[in-house]
Amino acid sequence: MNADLAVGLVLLPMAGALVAFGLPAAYRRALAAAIALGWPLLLLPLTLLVLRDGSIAVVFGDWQPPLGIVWRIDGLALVMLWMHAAVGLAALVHAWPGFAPDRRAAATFWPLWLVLMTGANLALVTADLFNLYVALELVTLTGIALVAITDSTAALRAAMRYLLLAMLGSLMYLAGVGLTYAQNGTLAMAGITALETTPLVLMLAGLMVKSAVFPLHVWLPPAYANAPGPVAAMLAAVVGKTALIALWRVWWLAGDSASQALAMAIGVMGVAAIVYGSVAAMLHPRLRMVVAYSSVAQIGLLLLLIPLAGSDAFVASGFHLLVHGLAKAAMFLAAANIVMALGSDWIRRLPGLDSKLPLEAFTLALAGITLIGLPPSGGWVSKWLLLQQARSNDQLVWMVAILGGSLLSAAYVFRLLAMSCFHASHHARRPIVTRPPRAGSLAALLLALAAALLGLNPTPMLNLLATAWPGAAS
Amino acid sequence: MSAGGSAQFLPPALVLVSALAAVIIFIAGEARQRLRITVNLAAALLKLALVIWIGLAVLAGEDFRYSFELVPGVELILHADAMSILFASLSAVLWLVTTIYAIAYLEHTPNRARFFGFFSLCVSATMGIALAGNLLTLFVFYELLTLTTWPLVVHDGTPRALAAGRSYLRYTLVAGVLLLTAMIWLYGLTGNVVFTPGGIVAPLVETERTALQVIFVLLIAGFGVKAALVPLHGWLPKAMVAPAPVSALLHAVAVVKAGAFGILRVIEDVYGHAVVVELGLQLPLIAVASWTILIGSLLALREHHLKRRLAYSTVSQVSYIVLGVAVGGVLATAGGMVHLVHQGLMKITLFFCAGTLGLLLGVHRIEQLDGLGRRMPWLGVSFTVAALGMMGMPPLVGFVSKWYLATGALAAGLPWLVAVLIGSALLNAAYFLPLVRRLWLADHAPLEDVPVAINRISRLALVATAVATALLSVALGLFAAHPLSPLNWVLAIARSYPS
Amino acid sequence: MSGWLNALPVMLPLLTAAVFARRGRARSLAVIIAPWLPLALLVPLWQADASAAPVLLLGLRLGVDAFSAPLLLLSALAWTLAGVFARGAIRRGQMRFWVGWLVSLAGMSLVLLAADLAGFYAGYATLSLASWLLVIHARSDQAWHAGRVYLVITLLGEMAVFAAVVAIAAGHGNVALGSIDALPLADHWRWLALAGFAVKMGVFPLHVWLPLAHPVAPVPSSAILSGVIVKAGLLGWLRLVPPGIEHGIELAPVLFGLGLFTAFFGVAVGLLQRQLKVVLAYSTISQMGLVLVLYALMLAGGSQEMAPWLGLLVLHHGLNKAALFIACGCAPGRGWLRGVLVALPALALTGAPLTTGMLAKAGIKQALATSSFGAGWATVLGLSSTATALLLWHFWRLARADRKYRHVRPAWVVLVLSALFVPWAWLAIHDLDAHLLGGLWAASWPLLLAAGLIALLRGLPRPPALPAGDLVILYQSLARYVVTVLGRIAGLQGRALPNLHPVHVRLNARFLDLEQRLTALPVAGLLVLGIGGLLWLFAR
Repeated sequence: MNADLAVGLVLLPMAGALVAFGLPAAYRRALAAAIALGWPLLLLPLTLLVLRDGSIAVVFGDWQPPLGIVWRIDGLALVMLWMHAAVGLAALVHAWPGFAPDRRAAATFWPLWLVLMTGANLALVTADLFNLYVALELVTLTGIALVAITDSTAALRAAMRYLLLAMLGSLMYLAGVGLTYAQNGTLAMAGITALETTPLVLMLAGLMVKSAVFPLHVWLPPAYANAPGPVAAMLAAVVGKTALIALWRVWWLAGDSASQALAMAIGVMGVAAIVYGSVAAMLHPRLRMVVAYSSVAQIGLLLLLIPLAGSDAFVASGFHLLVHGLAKAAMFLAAANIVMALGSDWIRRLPGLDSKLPLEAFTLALAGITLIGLPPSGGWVSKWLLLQQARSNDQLVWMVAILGGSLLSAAYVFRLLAMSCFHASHHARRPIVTRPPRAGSLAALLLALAAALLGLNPTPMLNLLATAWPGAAS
Repeated sequence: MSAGGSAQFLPPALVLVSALAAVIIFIAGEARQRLRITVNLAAALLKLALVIWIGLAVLAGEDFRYSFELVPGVELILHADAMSILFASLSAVLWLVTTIYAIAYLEHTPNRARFFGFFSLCVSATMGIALAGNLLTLFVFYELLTLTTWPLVVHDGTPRALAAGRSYLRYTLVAGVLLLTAMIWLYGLTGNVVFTPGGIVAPLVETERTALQVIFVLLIAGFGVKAALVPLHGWLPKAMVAPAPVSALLHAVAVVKAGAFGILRVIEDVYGHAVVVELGLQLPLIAVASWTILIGSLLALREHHLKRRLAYSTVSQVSYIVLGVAVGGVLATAGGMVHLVHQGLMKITLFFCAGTLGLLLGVHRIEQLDGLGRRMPWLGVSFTVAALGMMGMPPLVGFVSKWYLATGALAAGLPWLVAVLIGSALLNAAYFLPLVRRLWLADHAPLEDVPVAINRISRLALVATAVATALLSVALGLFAAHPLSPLNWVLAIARSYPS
Repeated sequence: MSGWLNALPVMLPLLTAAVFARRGRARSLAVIIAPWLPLALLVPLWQADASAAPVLLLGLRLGVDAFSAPLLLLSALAWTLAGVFARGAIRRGQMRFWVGWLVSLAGMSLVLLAADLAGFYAGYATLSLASWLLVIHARSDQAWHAGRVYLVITLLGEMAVFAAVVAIAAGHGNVALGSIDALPLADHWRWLALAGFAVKMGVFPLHVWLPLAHPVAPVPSSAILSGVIVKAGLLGWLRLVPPGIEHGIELAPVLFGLGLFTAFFGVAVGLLQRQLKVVLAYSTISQMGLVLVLYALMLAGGSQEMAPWLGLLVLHHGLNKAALFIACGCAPGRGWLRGVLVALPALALTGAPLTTGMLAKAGIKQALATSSFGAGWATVLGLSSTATALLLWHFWRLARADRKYRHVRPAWVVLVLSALFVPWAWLAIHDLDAHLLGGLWAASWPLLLAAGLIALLRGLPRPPALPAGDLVILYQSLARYVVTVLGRIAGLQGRALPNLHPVHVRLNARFLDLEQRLTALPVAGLLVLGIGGLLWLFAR
């Protein structure tokens, strides 16, 4: 077993993407599939290594930091990598018929998909601020391209807004990186000893735009809601999350130099996001917008890690990232199927869903329960640990926020469920427009099941995550 | 003595039986009626057999414990003790009856697979509550119960049903949040909250007095929502829009009972009655329970809708359980606990009768009951028996509960509670006797049969289930002193608590 | 071994009542059997074994003792004869009549036979509730009204009894009834028990249901309500507050006074009534006052020696009163034979010389003589006989005016005869010394006085009529007030939590507005910078 295998995580999809652009359109899909399937094989030995050593450091060439590019795979990164693999595979299955080689968009979709995976993986494993920038740019730009792939006006408008705001965010981040370099003379995270306020805030603000923290979230709902199902799933589970992890990492770089007030301010933003996102999800009349706004709320919840600042909270947030990623991807995949079948995105058209599309209804229900954090779903475990952290810190405000957030999420989840499964309406008798392929439904269901069942035995995962807690060393 | 080997898996098996049934029902889908009925009945019978098996083993002194770590430091424990068996056997018996009733009641309506699936899941959650060995497990299944009963409440899909469902969720989810808060806090204080007769918080009373008080209030409020303590009862009367089997489930088999059972566990096995008294929480709790008992009855008196009147009656009656446990001492505790069973039997009978009358004759308001006793004598007799039992007429079960509660209150030096019980009995008479009077003594109102596609066997089942539970409520009252009666079972439990 | 025979009087009526759920043949058979079932009460009297069924109820025990024996005899006789009468008289509403009749009988049997606290209460509650069916049988407006009054006051009384019962059980469990005199119990519980049973007895001021219920109930029902069922109250006193208890001497004076007052009050109000059965009801109230007097004397004496005398009083009143009520259903005004059949029990009730009434009075006087109340009260007792005589004269005149066409039923005749002889037999069996010759004058002067009064007052105009149930009007307005207050309390609690729906709608509009503004690109850009700036400020 060799740590250098880790290189494959990035190189494999990157090479795949390059090759795919060269290949005839007919083979691009197959290539993407081959890479997605090969991925777990690559991850497996790495997992064993991480379990043994705690983390893997990859050094390129013989240059040691600060000159060489350093990768570091810790527990958090590993868990996220697995999540990427799972969601990627599910999205692939879902996209398989929709982006068949004879479709117009397929030619660009598959290579872009590979690029997206490249960037996402790179963002997770890199331990270098500039590298991180590159990776995030890669992710964002391919994400935007994928949103725009359907050519609909709404999608193009959404992509445009995403692009503009993401650029602004990138610029701020880059400015922060530049200032940091000026101070420290290195961009390797391990080498950064001090982080001034200005670069820190610049980087944080930039990453907040990219991870769609309220009130900078405005690009997210239209982008997610107008993208094709597999893309939305990838955006929700991969793109948003990598930016958020980057935000955490930058925050930890600041270490003690970051003021308590800033942490509080970020916490308040988190609470605002929870409230706003949930209320929006509760009120919005469109299915995919509801799911998207729910992401806004969940990102707020994940921001609370910063003021909570403890190993329990870290483990919880890491776990929630995983669970939420799986659940949200499942919801987007299911939502795409629903839209395809009903020919409409309006929630009032949902009645009768449980008899028309039982698998989708079940997926929505399972994922929804995970989002609320009802036991014994995965979401419940993270809620429990977050609450435990808040209590042991005596931070009652965040406790109330977490509990209130779960109630608010119950409101929108049960609204969806009541509408789709129980509401007696004439819409219930309308026939299905197009029956979605079964494989896609099953893929969504499997993701939701994974999210829900993770709560049954989360301990190994939690232990793994605990090794990555940066506070443990100091 | 600990049960060895495979017997350890009995508790999870008990929980999983109906979950498995639910999965089969969901997968089989709407059309496979015969399979569904078979699975339903088989699971119910199997569950009953398992409960009896475990019950006998517990009686013989065996100890079942099954646990695994859910979150680091926090275990999920399924543990069968005498109190678990009390609740589990009640649920298992009533579930069997309710399943039969529900099959007869609903098999001609749409969405049966969904209904019976959730129905089974609901009982699965109830078994989990019964067998929970620590607060966390109880909470987990309590939340599951919320989740699985909501689809049943909104089953009809009418705007009123959906509104009732919303109300139900509002109350129960907020309750869940309160519970979670309390639990996080309590786990922080104690490290682990395993149910232990006599409680586990006694060492903290000196240092953490206020915290313990607040936690107790949170816990009682959390469980009190399902137990419908006034003013947390608002969801219950609304939820009666659900089909009658669901009402039976809510009022007798699972939901309000789960709340009451939770309160029972908190008082006896988490805090310990002595600590509750020590913290000065006994009298407030008694006051709340008494208030609920009286107000519930008064509200029932104002209702002219049959099922709503029954619902308010539940509000009142379930608080007997809370009252008994709050008062403490062998007699009152036994009186409260045994009412868990007794109230279940009587109320399920009443709801069966009300449901059948609604289904076959379109009777929903009490004015429509006129003369129906002579038209459907078996049903009328069952209803009458259960109503008289609710009033505490000897020799029915209600009398046994009332007897022990009143003697317990006096033994504990709280004679004014006798006045509460008497007031409640009088109010019960005031809102049940007019129904009985209408059934038998009023002149027959010409009522058309509601045209429903129900065959003879189903009609028979609708009536037979009510008769069976009514008979059971007579038998358990008449044979209250039998060594295997619920009364003697709870007396043994009550004696096992440190006094 | 034959202990289960004791349960027959309870079981048989219940089983027969169950048959009435079905129409047709089984029911007509049940109607034939039903009247004879009270005779089963003689079985335990005959064999007099105690029996126990520890798994039943809270440990049921059955048995007969000195208190219950005369009541068993009375119930067996009066209930059977009234039942035989009823079989001919009840034509409509057979089901509700017989179910009420039989369940009451079962309850009464349990009251009489129970030897444990819970069993006794069970019987008493059953009896109280089932008798309601007897009251409302006619289902007229008056009957419903009487039924409501009966039910409310009976339930209140029953609850008072329940409180006392559990007060005893709280300290000692489900005790044997015979051992209650030795148990310590606070006086207020005893008062509750006394008050609770007083409802059944019709002691002032809890008597209001009797004058309302009797005129509307069918004749046989009135007969057993007034002749037998009221005695369940007496048994209740004897069971829960038995002579021999610690503070008996302190309770006695109040009860004694109340008894005397009730005796005269019943007559006074009864004289102002116009209806035959109402007059009889007030007579019952008055007579129960006398029973209360004897009970109070026993309580004061602290011993149970007088029990046979009490039995005599009970038998005398029960049989005679039942006979008079039955008379009301047989057109007592037609012919001299019916006149005799009315006059015999009426005279007995006034305590005329050589009637059973004289025996009963003699018993009370004996008890008075040995008590601490002083012999002066004997004169007052004599005056109560005068009063009773006046009331029964009033009754006689009303009765002779009733000349509707009705048959004389054999049950009536047998009842009158048994009223004549059974108390004498009781006297003989228990070997009681009635001082017959010495008591003749004591029995005679009150009647002579009454005759004189009647002669004197003959020419006076008729006094105004008083509504039956006198105090009930007061109680009703009180009840209405209570109901209003309770309604207000319930109203306060009516709505638990407000509905959130309107808030929801308003939120919806606001949100869409806000989201529109946030989404505008310039705003979004400014927000990014603004948030960055804010964070920077916080970070300083």
